[in-house]
Amino acid sequence: MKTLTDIARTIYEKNDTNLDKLADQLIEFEDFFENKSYELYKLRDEIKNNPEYIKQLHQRSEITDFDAFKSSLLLLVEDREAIKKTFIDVIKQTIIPLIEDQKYKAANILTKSRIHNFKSRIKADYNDFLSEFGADDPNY
Amino acid sequence: MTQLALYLHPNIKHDIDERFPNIFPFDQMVNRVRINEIDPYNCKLMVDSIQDIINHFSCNLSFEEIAFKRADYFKSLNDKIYLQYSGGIDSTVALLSILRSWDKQELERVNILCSYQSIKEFPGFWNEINHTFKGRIISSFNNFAPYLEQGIMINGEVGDQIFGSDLINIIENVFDKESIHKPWEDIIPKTLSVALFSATKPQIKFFIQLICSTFYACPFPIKTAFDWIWWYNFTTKVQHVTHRLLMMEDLTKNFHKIYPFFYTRDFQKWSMENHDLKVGKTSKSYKLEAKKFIHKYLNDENYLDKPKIGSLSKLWSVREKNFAVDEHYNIISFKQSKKYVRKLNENIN
Repeated sequence: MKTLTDIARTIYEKNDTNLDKLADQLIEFEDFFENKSYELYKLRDEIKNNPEYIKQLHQRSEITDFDAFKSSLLLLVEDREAIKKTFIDVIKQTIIPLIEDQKYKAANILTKSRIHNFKSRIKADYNDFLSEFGADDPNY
Repeated sequence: MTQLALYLHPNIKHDIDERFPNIFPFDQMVNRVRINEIDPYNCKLMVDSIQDIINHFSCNLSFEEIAFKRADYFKSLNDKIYLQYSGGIDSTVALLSILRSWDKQELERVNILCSYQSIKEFPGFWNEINHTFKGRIISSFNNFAPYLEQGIMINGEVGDQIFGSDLINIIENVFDKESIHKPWEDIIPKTLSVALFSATKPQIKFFIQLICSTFYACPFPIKTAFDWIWWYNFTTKVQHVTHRLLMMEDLTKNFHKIYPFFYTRDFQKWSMENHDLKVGKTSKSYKLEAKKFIHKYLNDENYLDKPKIGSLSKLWSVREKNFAVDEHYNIISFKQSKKYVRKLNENIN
């Protein structure tokens, strides 16, 4: 199981209407996640291919050393990837066992609360990112 | 019978004694003075009691000397190290103690677990961290269990308990920067009514009475608001902060490999004997001795005024999942943990 869509697909395969909403939420969250991560993926490409652009960004940063600045951006991308991996782990370890035990109500409630927490975290990071790197830049 | 170590979950709660504020993290207190008497859960004390610290010899070392002694201890373990660095004062002291006392070759076994937020909190330190640990810097949003298979983990926990409490921010916001040194009776009830916003007045009064009932164990009279919040935090929250990582992840197998940097009897004794070094005239100087240490070894002009910023909640918000942990660090369910809710004595106070 690599993605949330993969997990959702296996849930749909159970053909149980109690679980459809839960699976829908996972797919919707994956869309949300990818949407809010687009800028980060783009930034990762820029770090690789467009040093001039990264130098421009560096001028706005409090980090004086250029190499340290680049590392900070890479960590930003790594954080986001780790958050997604953590979310998938949380679903696998807490929601899937509830589904297996047919505790659908608890599974639905917990999924909703987990998605809410993760969305809040990602929205906060996304806004930070825009205010720091993209808000006044037409490329973003 | 196996005992509970800690109820962990911040949002999903049992019905505890109705006189007690059922609000995280106050509901997770494990008092180190009146052991197994006044806590809302029947927990085994897994950390030093206040009596243990009183009995500990006075080492007469300075804060700086104790920090370097701790770094020496980690050096002697000869393990690969994963240091959780948030950019905050406590984890900066931990990292700096190691960085300034180990040689380059020894530092190669140190890995840094941090996030972009850690860099933002203290950008002035990042150049050196990146230069020294490049290739060994890992996102702290990853699960920790795999790292504990390979080495030990150090974090900045218990720093808050050594120095005071983040309730200092509420005192500053509700009153002003100087109010920490006013009589606690004038400051604490209002401060707690903000911190425990959904608690009733009788619950707040009850909670204050319980904490006051432990004052006899303090080596000096508790007079000011700052005295009060430090004593509350020092005597009730160490078990919580040393175990709360278990809320995020099942680390049962290797929990003994997690080392809170400030959880030593030397640091705790220092805290009891050097109350005047924790804060200056205003709340701005909170964690004064730690800030002086950082200023001395990093020469960062602005550091002495750095505000306290909580960092762990950024990780919790996406990772809280476990309900409770028993004395063997096994994760237990919500249902299993219900039996540990304590019915407090009718006349307790």
